[in-house]
Amino acid sequence: MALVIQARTWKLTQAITGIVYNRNDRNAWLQTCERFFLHGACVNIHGMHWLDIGLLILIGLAAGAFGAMMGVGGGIFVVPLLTLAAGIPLHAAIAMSLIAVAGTGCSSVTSYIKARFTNVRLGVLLETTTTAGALAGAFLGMFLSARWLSGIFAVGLVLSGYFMFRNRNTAINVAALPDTNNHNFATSLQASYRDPGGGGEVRYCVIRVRQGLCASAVAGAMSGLLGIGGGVIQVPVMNLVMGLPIKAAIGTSNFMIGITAVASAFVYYVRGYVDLLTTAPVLVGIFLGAQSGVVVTRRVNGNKLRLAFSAVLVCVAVLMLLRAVGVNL
Amino acid sequence: MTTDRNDVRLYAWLRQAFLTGLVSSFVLTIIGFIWISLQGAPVRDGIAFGGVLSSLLHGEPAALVSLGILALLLTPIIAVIICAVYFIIRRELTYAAMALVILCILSLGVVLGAT
Repeated sequence: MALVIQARTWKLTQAITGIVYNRNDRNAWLQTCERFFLHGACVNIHGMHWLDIGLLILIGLAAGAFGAMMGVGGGIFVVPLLTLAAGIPLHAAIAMSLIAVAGTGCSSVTSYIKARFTNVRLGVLLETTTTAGALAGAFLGMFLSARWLSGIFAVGLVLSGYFMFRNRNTAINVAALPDTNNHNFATSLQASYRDPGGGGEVRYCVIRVRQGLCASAVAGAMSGLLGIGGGVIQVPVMNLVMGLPIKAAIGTSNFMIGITAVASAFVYYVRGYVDLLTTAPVLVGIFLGAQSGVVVTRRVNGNKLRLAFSAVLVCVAVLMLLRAVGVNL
Repeated sequence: MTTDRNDVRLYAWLRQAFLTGLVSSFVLTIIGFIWISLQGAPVRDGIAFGGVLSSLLHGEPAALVSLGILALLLTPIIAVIICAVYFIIRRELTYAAMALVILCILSLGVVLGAT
């Protein structure tokens, strides 16, 4: 049975790609690998090999896992990987990435909501400025050149890496604050969750709401412009500026990035810019990767993850910066 | 008035909405992609918002993938609607208004994108 399916898949692959591959032909494998890793695969809907599909699923897996783990959606990985590794044009990659970010958000937020890491009220509050910024960014992005976008993206990544590197647990424990018995707006944003990492019940309050709203607008604009979830700004801001514990910041960010990405993704989707055949494998990878990312977040030390994440951001930023100045590796 | 006092229903509704959207999107995308592979015919670059149902009725497998993506994109919007309804029921009108503002901005995005 397995052999029949394999043979049929092989024939289908030949039919789709229009190239007659021999299963035992080592040269074909090597050529394909060379195409991927040395020259960048040019993926298009009329000539997609199953290795292309595998690569796209892998990109989705990696982006989904890292995105869900850090609350950033994965767009910062999807866009560079699709443009640098798969050779997809930047504007198409941004449209695909926004869909992928929505996938990461929806996939991971189910677990974060269950764990009560997500502060829904804060998410709704910040989303008011984030969606407005995302919409403005999406329209602006259609008029900017790919090189400009690459440059902006690289600068954004360096900034994110810097913030992530500096990030420490700056959560403000609500128990440490004087009880004013004043149920004002800020009080309604207080929340708590049980930390499975052995921290017991963590209660916190939210401060500097105005600064958070301004940063959210910038995060939204970056999301629409660059096809990212905006979590690269939201998580550090919520943690460093607004006083949320890192896990609450990640959980709330994952709730927000889905909504933010949808604001600009609809602009691309409604106009029919989304390449369905390449988006589908990325989405499948995202769905699976995001679930594994959530599991890792609960178990791995946050500071170590953050340091590794900063290093990855800077590496990708360098590659995108080179692309912006016209150097294609 | 703190979020962890009476929000059990909100969290349960949201989780259910996200799970339903996610599973339906995943299933539609997978079936559509397998259908495309089996058919082996050229696929359109993208199917615009209005053409999804008609393309599906004409037996285009790509429309199923497009429908899966649409289901995914609608999921966060449904989550915002749930938040709005919940806050209206709880008479937390400030948050209800915020959720409605988000919905208005998202609708504006769809309308501006279409035009």
